[in-house]
Amino acid sequence: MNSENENTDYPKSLKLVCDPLSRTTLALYCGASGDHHPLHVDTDWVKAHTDLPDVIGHGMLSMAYLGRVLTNQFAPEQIQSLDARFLAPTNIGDIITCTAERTAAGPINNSGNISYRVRATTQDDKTIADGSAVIRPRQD
Amino acid sequence: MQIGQEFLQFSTDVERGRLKLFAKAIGELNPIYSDADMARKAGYDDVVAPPTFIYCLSEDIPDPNIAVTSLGLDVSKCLHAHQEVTQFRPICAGQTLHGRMRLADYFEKKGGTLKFVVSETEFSNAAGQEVASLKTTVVVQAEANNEQ
Repeated sequence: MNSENENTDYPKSLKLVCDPLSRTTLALYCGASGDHHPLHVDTDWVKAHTDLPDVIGHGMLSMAYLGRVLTNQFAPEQIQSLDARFLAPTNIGDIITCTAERTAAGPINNSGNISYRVRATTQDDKTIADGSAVIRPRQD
Repeated sequence: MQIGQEFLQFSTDVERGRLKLFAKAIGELNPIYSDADMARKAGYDDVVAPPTFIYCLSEDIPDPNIAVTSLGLDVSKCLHAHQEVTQFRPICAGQTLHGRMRLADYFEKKGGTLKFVVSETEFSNAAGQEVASLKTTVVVQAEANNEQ
């Protein structure tokens, strides 16, 4: 087996720091995703219908950020799967950091696939989503 | 509705303009996800969908909460707990995908006050090839005193 730490096709760790979560981003994601729930864009509605002080981010937006950690490094056809548990809501102004850590297990079975543990956290180190990703070998 | 039961089939188009907007919304800067020429130069048919975009297509049905409502549960108490996306081939603008949704699992925790609904959606392309699948888990929080 080759030295795993030298494997540049599958870096040991990947990281992405997103821009602070803004109302504009939530509005754009609302339109693009088709999730038009007022919880994410309409402060008046949130105050009238929930105990929350303001809108919260879409869980799937956090997962899309986890996806960007992968697309920054891998070609679309290499990304076999991504999964995420949604653990906490995100708030306006949150700076979301996404990481992917290659698991020690190395290639999965004989497929050559590599797995990563993914995690999204906020500036106060709160985990908002975590899960895993499976990456296929590059086909050159 | 029984576990394993298919409850919906639908068709949906992967639109270039929507992919462009999606890439902008999530801050995806790689041009293969927004520019058709750049995507073609990279060997793809058209603008490519980022990994989680396929979930949006599963919500493009008249009632995105159909699995929850079919079980008679309260949608307003429903939270997205877990999401899994699997891709078998790249999804590009211009494709028409066919989706099939089924109830994959249902279970309860904490004495029935947390009800988990797991649905699976399989997408295939016009040639009948499997393109992607989703496994979506939502949790419905019930009022404890309403439970038996």
